[in-house]
Amino acid sequence: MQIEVEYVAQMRSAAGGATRETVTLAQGATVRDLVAHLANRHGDTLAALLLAEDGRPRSSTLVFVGEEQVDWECPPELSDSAKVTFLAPLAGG
Amino acid sequence: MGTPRPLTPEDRARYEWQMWTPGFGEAGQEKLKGASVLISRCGGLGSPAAYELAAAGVGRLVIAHAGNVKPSDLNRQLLMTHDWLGKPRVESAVRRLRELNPTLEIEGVPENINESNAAELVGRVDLVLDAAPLFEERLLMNREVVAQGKILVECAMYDMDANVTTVIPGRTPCLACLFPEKPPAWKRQFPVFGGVSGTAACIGAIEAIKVLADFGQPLLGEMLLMDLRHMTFRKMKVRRDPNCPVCRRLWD
Repeated sequence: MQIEVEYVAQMRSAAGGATRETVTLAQGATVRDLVAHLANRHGDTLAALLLAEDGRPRSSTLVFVGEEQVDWECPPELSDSAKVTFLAPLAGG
Repeated sequence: MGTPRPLTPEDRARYEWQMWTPGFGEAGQEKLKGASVLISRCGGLGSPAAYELAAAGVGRLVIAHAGNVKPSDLNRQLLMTHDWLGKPRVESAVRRLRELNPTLEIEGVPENINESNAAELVGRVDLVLDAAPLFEERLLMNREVVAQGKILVECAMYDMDANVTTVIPGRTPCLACLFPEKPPAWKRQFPVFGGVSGTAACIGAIEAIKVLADFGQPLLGEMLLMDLRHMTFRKMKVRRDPNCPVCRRLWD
């Protein structure tokens, strides 16, 4: 299935500068599977924003499926054409 | 929330055009006159936010910002002026706000939010407009807002992106629900046009005005994501962390 990924702010530069990309995952994949795929695809800079040192999802990163934030602890299964947005919080003032 | 204060004929003349706004009116203006807001800090985001709140007639503004004006402040920190280079930022901010609206009570605090002043500064006001460039300051203000039952309008930007959400403890997620720890990637210096920080500021200011005057629909449990590089605005639902160490007790 195809997943549309959107990166916000620092996530964008960590993912190589693109705002959006499409990723192909197996049916039944979850947000965590997507994160593992992206961390592997884009390397350490993005991986550091997505995953903590212990390999668990980083709690300070916000993940939205469609227009709703999802829980890292029990990430939902994704459906075909889902749009997933990653936001590392901003503090510019 | 502060007690509404009656308007003078001078107030009516000054705020006439905004009192025409449906749902606001003279009653809304009286609420703003009786309200108080802390703005920390008063840089690219806090400057235009403070200016809008002063223009709109929020009765008392507390401006917290340390340090002296530097040349690199002047592309966005609109309350700082060229003639004030090398002098305290907060003095420039207070001076400009008083020039705009001398009818208000404006307090300048030459400090940034820290562990020793956060409780006292948040305690002085009804609402905090968070414009701090460090997560430590943002999380401190959030902690005090939750502890003291205040309101937080959270505004932030980076590069061409900005976001705004409003926290009412016990009704919405708090900041620590959204990010319980400082994100590892954040750097003190960041790319910024004044037009981007100013966009977040104006949206934050109108959020504060709506909450204080009790009209419209604020961003409660929602975060507005603004991508000004592509002019895309999205309203996202944010979730409360049931194990949040800061606000969990309010939900038990």
